[in-house]
Formats: sequence, C-alpha cells, structure tokens
Amino acid sequence: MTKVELDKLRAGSKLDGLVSQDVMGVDPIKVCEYFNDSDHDELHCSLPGYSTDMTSAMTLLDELRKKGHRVLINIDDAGFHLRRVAFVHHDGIKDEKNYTCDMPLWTAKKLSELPKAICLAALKLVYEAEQDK
Amino acid sequence: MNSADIDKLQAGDELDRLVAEKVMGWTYFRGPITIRGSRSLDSWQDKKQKWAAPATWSPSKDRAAAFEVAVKLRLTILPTSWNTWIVFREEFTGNVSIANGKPKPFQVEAEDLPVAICKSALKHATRGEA
Repeated sequence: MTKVELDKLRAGSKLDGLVSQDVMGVDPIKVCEYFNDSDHDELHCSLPGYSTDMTSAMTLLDELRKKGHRVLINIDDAGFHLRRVAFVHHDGIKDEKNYTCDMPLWTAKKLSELPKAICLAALKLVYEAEQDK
Repeated sequence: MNSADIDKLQAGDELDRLVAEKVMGWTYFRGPITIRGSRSLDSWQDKKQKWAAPATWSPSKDRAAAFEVAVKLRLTILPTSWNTWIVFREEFTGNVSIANGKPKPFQVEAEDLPVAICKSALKHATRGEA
C-alpha cells in the first residue's frame, strides 16, 4: 500500500482492521463478520479502536517496538510529528544510546487525529520493512 | 520539591495530584456530598473555575490522560529498545539524538509511559524549586 493509498484511509473500523492484520498480526476475518463490506466499507466487529482511541493507538507503538521499530513523537505548533528512530553505528557496532530520527512518518494537526496518525505511521513502517526484505 | 524527590514518586494519587496542580494549574473542587455520601460531583477545575477533568483523572496510570500533559508541555516521547520510554523537552530541529551521558532537559526514563510523562512534566513545572 502506497503513501497515497494510506492518505485516503479515514479513521474507523477499516483502518482498525488493517492495523490489526498488518501490525498486530491478528486476522480480523476471524473476529469480524465482514472484513470488507462493499455496501458500507466498514467492519462489523469489536476490534480495538486503534484509529480513534489514544490508549489503543499507543499499544501499536509497543508492538512496533517488539518488531524492532521505534517511533518518536514530537509536539510543536504544527502538530504531532511521528518520526522513525534509527540507531547510530560506531565502527559498525550499533550504539543503543545514540540514535537519530531519520524519516518523518506522519503528522497529526490535532490531538484527536493522533490515533489515526499512529496507525498510518505504523502501517508505513511495516510496509517499508516488508519491501526492504 | 527537587528532581530527586520527583524521581522517587510512583504512579498513584500523589503523582496525579501534583501533576494536576503544578503542571495543569488545576484546583480540586469538592462537590456537595450527595444523600448517599458519595463525592461523585468532585472534579478538577481550571483557573477560570471551569470543569477541567473528573476527580478520577489519573495521568500516571492512563495513557490518554498522560498525553494531555505531554501536549501541554510539548514533551517529546521516545521508546527505547530496552522496553523503557524516554521523555524530555526540546525544540525539535529536524534531527534528534540522545547522546550517552548527556540527558536532554527534564529527561525521564521509565518503564511506564504515563509515569515518564508525569515525572518529566513535573520536573519542568517545578524547575527552580528547592
């Protein structure tokens, strides 16, 4: 899924389903009535509201960390910026306490949009990691 | 209250109260006691004496509440690969690095993100206090 396609996703059960499947590793088809209802484009299930609830969204950061990805959240006048954290290497050895942010992932303009931004950043990280394999 | 005092605090009522009062600038409003004796009308009020949060507001345990604190102080949140969270306050210049032995302003590291946010915010709010 490209960034343009990710951009089109709205906060809601479809995005929650994608995140459940591709980030959390849970098969939404097993817990939902329909994965992609063509009439409503929504899921009919009780997945965590990753894209709308901050507490649920933050669990994605925990899961990403388990997978070896880290996301920094920085706040300024423009909003909430999510950035990928990269290690710094010294003489070929990864230095755990020295790292930089090397890639902007997503920005939320308002706090209410932050859960969705975390979801999209998580998907972007996971998809890019798959491409790198 | 100094930085060492803050480091000793644990998640719970005391940390929640300190954050509400010193960081958010709220005061505790004791609502009228109901017939059944519960204090369901208690709340936190802002400086304009408007309702700000329920009495049960707990930024040291609830991530959503902790994020309200992080937003107010514009804290930066960084997960480490050793299962802790580092929270600090710094103007972002496009590239952040954590240098070994050189902590950022009001930097706190903790296993629980809400605790790290609360302590970092409290250190910022009480800077200069003996």
